[in-house]
Amino acid sequence: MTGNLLIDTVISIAAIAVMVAIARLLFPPPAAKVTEAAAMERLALDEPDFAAQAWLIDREGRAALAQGAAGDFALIKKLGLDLVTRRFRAGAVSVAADESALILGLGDTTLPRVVISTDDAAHWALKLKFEGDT
Amino acid sequence: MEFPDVIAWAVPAFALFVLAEIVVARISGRGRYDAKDSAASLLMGLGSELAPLLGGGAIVLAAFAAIYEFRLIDIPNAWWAVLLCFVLDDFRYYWWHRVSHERRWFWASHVIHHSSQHYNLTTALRQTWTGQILGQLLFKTPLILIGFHPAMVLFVGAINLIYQFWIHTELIKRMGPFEWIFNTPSHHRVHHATNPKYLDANYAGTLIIWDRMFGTFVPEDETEKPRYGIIKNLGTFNPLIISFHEWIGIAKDVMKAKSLREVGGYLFGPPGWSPDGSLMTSAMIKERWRRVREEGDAQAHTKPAGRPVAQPAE
Repeated sequence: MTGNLLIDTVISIAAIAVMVAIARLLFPPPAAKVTEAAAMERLALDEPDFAAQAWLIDREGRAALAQGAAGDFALIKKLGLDLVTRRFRAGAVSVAADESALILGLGDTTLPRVVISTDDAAHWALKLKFEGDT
Repeated sequence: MEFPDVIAWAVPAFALFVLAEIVVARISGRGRYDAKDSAASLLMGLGSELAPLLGGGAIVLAAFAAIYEFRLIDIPNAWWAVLLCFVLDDFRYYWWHRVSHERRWFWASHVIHHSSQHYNLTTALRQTWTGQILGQLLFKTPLILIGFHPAMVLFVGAINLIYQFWIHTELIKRMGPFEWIFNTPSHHRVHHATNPKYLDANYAGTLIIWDRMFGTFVPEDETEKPRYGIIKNLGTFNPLIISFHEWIGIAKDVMKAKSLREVGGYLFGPPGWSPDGSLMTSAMIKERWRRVREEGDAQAHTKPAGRPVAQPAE
């Protein structure tokens, strides 16, 4: 390195760009989507005591939502090549629904909002609001 | 004796090794890269080099210089002293690292290094932007009080960090007798894994002997591939959120605390601590894993005898 902070920083950023570009070239992001099977497999690892009873899969395969036997829910969201999961009880998240999407506000710093494209949004919104209260 | 800035020398080599690993991982199929994840890791690494320039680095240096005035003995800047300092600093590293996993205040800085679901050389560079001051002062002060010069202490710490770069890879499997004494890719894969059987293990920097001595050593099980990341994996590649998410989490929790005990628990309890036990610490996750496994074993033993899964060869 040159010892000059500005020059070193610029060189570092350029080097990062080269490394990332080569990583993207040699490991292109696959078109893989979140499927029920993939979501179940991941949940079995992250939440082994979660028993999924019903599934909602995003139309574009970006996320999935599972309703558990104990009145709880699990969200599985695509992040790059990987999946991220969150488990919560009904009533613990903010829910909005329109004709084509279910919108979850998780109150989570790294995953604040998830949109699931579906025709069944209203039905799932009801479940998410009241299932845990029964 | 001069103590050069070895990190500055190593950075270009880090970049070359990352490029080499990407190519070899692609050819061999023995590693995974996600460009967005790598970009986040590398930007975290750059930020960790710049962050101390905001004042933290100067505070630490000034404090070390002041503390050195109260040293117990004068240790010369000789090769044997550097070697001794390295071993003692590695012991210091073990305890700092262990506390960084067991106490949330320290975890808030260290979690950054574990927040990738990938394990490659860019993960090694995913370093914290915070935690420089307290972590350094608390854990390095004893070495300086003994009488090691602050420059020597910082030098051996840098050597230790450089050593740990190459062990962040899936390309190297096992290393035979070398693994008895030294930290290796296999040992450190276990450390980065979230599989319950691997949690809270292998805190070593360079020498794995500390884990063997203090009961935290877990060997890599070839039948259980490590799953990397953290218990609640991050939902973003944004470096700013990666850097501060746990501090934000602590602030939110402390704001809702109902007693001083709860404040203490949120600040210095184990990560995942909650007053009612509704969240999960690593100890609780391990317990759940044992329970689920035992229930599975019990069910397997109570099943009526059926056709064997595999017939013996005739």
